[in-house]
Amino acid sequence: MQNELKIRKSILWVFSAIWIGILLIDYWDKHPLYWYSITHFKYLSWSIILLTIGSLLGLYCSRSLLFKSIKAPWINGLVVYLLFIIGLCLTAFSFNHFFQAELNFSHYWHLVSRSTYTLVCSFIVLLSALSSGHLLARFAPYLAQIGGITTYLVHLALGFFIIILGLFFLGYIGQLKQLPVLIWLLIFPISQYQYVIKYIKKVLITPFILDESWSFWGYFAMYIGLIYSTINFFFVQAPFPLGFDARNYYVNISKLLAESGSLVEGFQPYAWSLLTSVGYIAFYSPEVTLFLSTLGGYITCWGIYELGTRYLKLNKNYALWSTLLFMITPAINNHWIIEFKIDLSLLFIQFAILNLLFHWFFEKKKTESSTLIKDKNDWMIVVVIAILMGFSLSIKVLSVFLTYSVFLLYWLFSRDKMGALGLASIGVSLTLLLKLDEISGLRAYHDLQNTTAIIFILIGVALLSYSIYKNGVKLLLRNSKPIVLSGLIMIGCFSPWLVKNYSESSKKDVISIILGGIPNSELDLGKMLRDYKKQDE
Amino acid sequence: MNRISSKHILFALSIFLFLLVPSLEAQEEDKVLTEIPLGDIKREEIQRYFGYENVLFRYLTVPYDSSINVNQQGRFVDIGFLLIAVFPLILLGLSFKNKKAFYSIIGLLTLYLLICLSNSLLITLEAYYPVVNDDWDIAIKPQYLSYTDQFLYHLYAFSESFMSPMIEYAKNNNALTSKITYGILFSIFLGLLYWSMSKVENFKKEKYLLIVFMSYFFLWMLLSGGIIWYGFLFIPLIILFIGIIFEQESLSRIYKNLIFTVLIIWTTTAIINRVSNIDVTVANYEEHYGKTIINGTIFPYAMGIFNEDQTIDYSTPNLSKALNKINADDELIYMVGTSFSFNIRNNLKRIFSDNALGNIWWIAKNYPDKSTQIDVLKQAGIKYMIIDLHTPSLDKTPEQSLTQKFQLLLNTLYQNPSVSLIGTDRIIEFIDSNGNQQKLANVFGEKILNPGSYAIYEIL
Repeated sequence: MQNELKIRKSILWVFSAIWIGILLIDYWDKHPLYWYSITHFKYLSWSIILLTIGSLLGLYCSRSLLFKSIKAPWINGLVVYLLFIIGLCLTAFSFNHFFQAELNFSHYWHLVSRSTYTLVCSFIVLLSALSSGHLLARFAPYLAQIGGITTYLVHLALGFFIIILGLFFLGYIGQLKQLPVLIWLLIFPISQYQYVIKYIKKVLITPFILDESWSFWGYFAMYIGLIYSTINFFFVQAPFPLGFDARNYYVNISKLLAESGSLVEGFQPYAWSLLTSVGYIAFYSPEVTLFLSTLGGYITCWGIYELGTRYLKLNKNYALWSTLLFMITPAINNHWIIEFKIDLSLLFIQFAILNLLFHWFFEKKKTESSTLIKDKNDWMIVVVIAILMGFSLSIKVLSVFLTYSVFLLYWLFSRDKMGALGLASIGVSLTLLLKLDEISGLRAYHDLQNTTAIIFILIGVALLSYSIYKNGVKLLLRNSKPIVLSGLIMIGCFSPWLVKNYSESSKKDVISIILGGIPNSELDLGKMLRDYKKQDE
Repeated sequence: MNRISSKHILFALSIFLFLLVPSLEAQEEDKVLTEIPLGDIKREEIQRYFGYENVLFRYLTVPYDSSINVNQQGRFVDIGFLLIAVFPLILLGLSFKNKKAFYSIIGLLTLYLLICLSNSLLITLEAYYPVVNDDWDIAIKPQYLSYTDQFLYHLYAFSESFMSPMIEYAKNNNALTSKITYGILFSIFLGLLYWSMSKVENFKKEKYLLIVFMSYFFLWMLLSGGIIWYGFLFIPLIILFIGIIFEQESLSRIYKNLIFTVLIIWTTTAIINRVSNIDVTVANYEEHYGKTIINGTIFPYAMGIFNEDQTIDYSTPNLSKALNKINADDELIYMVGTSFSFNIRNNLKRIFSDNALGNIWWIAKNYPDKSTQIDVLKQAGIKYMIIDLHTPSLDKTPEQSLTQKFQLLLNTLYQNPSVSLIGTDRIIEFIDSNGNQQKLANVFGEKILNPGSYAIYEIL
């Protein structure tokens, strides 16, 4: 037995080594620029200076080596800001070694002042979201009891929902202008000034309460993340985004909203572009618009850390490195520097949902209950999650993927595996019946799509029937209630966009109402040819 | 009386389906795409991320393709190798205690790797070589490849020969695979879901995370055509999963250290890669490698040296003059690619996008004469044409359909008196009447010195 276990352990690491070896070679071969990045690395001095600062900071915060005798590390938001400015100027100085522009103090002052303006304006928007979310969350007192990052995430997510809803109605009546938008943004922080002042003090002035379990490596990971954010910040200090989709679509929508002062016709629901348009409208700054496009990604890092430590009980230092691993993923990083899309903002809402969901589940698990909804608090959680899911639909319709996962978990909580499997089967079948695979064009390469869908729906129905047979109808009804309620609330939250799409679209089918019309559909190739043919004749 | 169990239900379902499928199949029309139309926009634009092999293998190889970036390269689709190199090993580690599951997963992973490698491609900076190529032996000799390319060439060839019965069967039975692919995928998904629901009892917190990951990843794979940013959620979830493996006491130190080493390698190289920031704008200029931690186009603006207009001209020569002309009126614009719409006033109402050139192809089909083609656009109210000269570089289709259409457009514009060039950054060389070599900003010429990125025409 022991021998067999030893053999298995050996097989595990030998197989893993071979697997990793082959795939690493394959990956490196198809990404030759990584090798060139190493062989042509030109920022050694810059790296040494920043790594030295980071190491000293790490030692200071973890009270190691030279700093063993200090009482408590003194780090607050302003110190972080100072580090950010140092990193910004040092990066500009190092880059200019190659760029060779004639820079003087006024140029660095311009950089620092414009960057500070961008951060301050974005912070105002953040405060507006936080205070409005805090106000709404008074109807769900349970949220405040959760505490920690989860509460902030949910407040922020709810807050952004309210802000964007207000902007939507301002756009609807053609009042996306500086004064109305500023009033809307400031009304919540002003009405909750005590909460806001307390928050500002906590974030900027009061020294942070540092976690005792964070080691030098944990602090080092955070510091590297800060440096990463700093060098990415340069791409936000631009008159326009560099990426194709950002220029043609996402940031373009924000610009069009600012130009017209009202909602833009066509396009899929563009809730986050509506938010980022306040950069142009309220602050006359493309930089603020670009930074707001990236803000969701930074908030996501908190969500990753919270999910990792609070619910998955991972080592806290690994969780800090997880956020860094997330940030350095090139496809993710691309959304901070080139393509200012809405996907990172969507990710932040998704993490708010997951953190709230996991918190709720694990609290209930402690009581060893298999009943998801027992009291008013549970219904409140369902409502809040549904609101956030509806909100995420207005950012990107494909966030329905997470809705599917959430509904599965709702059902599975009751330990009805067959029922959950039945629901899963019906869910995936509906994607075929609704022809959602046409969006990618892949439907054309399949046959028997409807047959397959019907078969798996029947499988789902059979599994649900078995569940009823085993557990009774009561369980089915009990499990269905949060799903049905969530669906209705999601439609409610998404409805302003449905109404907009319905009024604009010439086609009144379900897909057009959900996805919106094609912008500028007045130009129609068919009409063009017909008109020309008529003229010809 | 014996209790009815889930196994009984599944058996009954199988019998029912065996009887039902033929009658349902008889009612479906055969609608599989057998001919590839020239001008399939979704095929060119979206499916370049997903691949063009047999439909079943397209789906099965998604985790490998999206990590190794076989189909589409570039930073914007680069998610690193943690998904394919580390995540399957996490599943292996979690099943370590169960002997049957452990060896089954090893077998499945080996089979999966063979499937992926047999469908993979050799890619270098200079060229793009499919392994399975009738002219392979004549056109490309392995000894001309780098060491890693040679290793991969032999690895792909071995995998391809090992998997050839399956691949050949799929190729010769396209109609069958098109019918059963969805069924296979749904069954795999439901099977994995069932496994995680019932077998992952000891890891309760991971169970919920696993279900979220699997269901989300499956829908992404099914519906998003391999577009990475539609499924960003699974990236941080993978990273968190890796953290779980370090908490498992039953796993050996060697195994954990191996995973840890991979993470360190990835972290270091990804950070260096970002600092060096070698992207497509400098890929052909080795003297600039490693310098562009910040984009040189926006640096002057960030430092207050340039204003917005100066930044536009600095990034794209000769553009602002053409844009000023366009912004002086409200006429309609025909646009192929480029991102200049951002700088055009009232762009939503004015721009008619034809990024995949489907519309101009249809006009050309109806009216072969190129002056008439321009006249069609003119009669529709279009006054300007903005063209991205890099359009063919997006073409990943085996039949090169996008490239063909782009050539058609260039033929339309070549020496066409109905259009006038008002802006381009392409530089050509020509011999003037005195026999001297001259340089000029133009699209067509004897010799192209700088290929440029755009051309703007006015319809006269």
